[in-house]
Amino acid sequence: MFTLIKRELIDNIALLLLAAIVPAIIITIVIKGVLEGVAYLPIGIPVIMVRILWPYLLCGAFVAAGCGAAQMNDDSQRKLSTFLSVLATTRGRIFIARTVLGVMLILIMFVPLVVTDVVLLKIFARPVPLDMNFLIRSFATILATFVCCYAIGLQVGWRSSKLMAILFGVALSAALILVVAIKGFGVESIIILVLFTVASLIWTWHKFLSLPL
Amino acid sequence: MERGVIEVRDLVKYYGGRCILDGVDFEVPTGCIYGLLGRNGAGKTTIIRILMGLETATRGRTFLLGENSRRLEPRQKSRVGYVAEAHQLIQNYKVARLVALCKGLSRRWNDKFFKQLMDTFRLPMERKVKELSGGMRAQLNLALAMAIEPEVLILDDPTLGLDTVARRQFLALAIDLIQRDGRTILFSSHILSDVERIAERIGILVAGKLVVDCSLDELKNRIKKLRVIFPQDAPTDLHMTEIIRQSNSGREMVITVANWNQQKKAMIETFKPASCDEIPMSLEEIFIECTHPEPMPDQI
Repeated sequence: MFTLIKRELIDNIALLLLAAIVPAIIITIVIKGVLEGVAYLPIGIPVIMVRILWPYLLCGAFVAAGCGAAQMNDDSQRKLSTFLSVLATTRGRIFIARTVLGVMLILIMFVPLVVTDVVLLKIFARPVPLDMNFLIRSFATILATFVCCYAIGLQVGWRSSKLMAILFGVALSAALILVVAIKGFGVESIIILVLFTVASLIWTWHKFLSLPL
Repeated sequence: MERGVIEVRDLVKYYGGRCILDGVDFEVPTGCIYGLLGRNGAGKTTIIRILMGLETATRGRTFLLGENSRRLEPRQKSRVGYVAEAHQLIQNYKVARLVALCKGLSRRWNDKFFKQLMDTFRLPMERKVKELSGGMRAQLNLALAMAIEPEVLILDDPTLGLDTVARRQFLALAIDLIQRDGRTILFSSHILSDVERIAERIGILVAGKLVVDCSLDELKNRIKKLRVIFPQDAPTDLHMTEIIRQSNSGREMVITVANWNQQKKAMIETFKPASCDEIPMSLEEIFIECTHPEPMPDQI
């Protein structure tokens, strides 16, 4: 299993770098905004930290979907699983190794957001009781969106054209982001996203285990 | 010999409504070298891909080392070496990285033997797989398959696309390696001379049906090609079962018959031929007789 995860890591190092660049850019914007002058919401949180959630969600979701689609498409084009699955492993393990990379990729995008927000709150939050519930709901929704978009990317990635696979993944992600836009950051959005994620992963798992390689 | 290291049972495969395999049934006992023959598109690769779990069957089942091919565990796969048609290796990997990957995924990797093979083949470890010639890729694929010391070796047209010299070099080494330890081997090819050199048992696929499944010696004994000369014009009413091919020209009749026996001989003698001589046939000639596009005989 470790060999498979290591292979995924080395093969997809560019995707991991991309996933690291996105939060780096957004966090730089946040810090720059905070340093230029802090406006506060009534709940004691700097406005910029809330404003940043949407661009973060959008960029992260599209990157997650694109990475999932690229990973799967790469396999389909280079026939990686055809080669790997006749060695002493199973398709299930190949898929799990792939999703382990996906989890790492999502964490690379998600953790810096949380860390930055927590650090900035410690420094800049007004001395009023913070609405922690709002923050937790926001972070949970963003994480659920990233995971869901990645799962959608995996699902649509097995295509002949890499560009089409990524575009299709990004288009479906846009539809999911609309759900979040309509329902807002909260439990309802999270439930819908989790349902989509589970359905998508089950479909992809079943498909990957049974398709001709 | 024990039964069933490789078993194919009533295998049927359809692709887009087209029948590729039509009830194929055979088994390869332990220690046997089985040559699977057939023209391009006969279904050889499809059988092997189903056996390796790369493809699903429409109907029927295949077993490798007693386990259903669809449910092969790493434990069983680690005992199977596979050389795929066209040597489907990961093209943009360096040889060294591909070797490390295979080694990392194998349960028993004989490093000493592998190094010995690499030295023999003189394969450059720092070059990318896509930069290797077809012959080198074939050698690398064989070395990777052999390094795990497999009990079962499945070779799907391993010499396809190689020039004559590369093919001969590959086969000379392959034959030496695979015959050493009494491995069970399924060897698919349409180059008959390759198969004739190593196979003990032969299966011939024609349009998805296995029309021959017997030992090489048995095959040569069972299929006879006869030149029969009659005192007058050759009779047109010689009716016999299992005639594969028959051609009349004046007094001469050339006839290829499956399952040749005394009754068939007696039947020809009723027409009082002037002479009846057997024409020796190589495996290639038998193959051509069995796979010509006219109606096929029943399974031999």
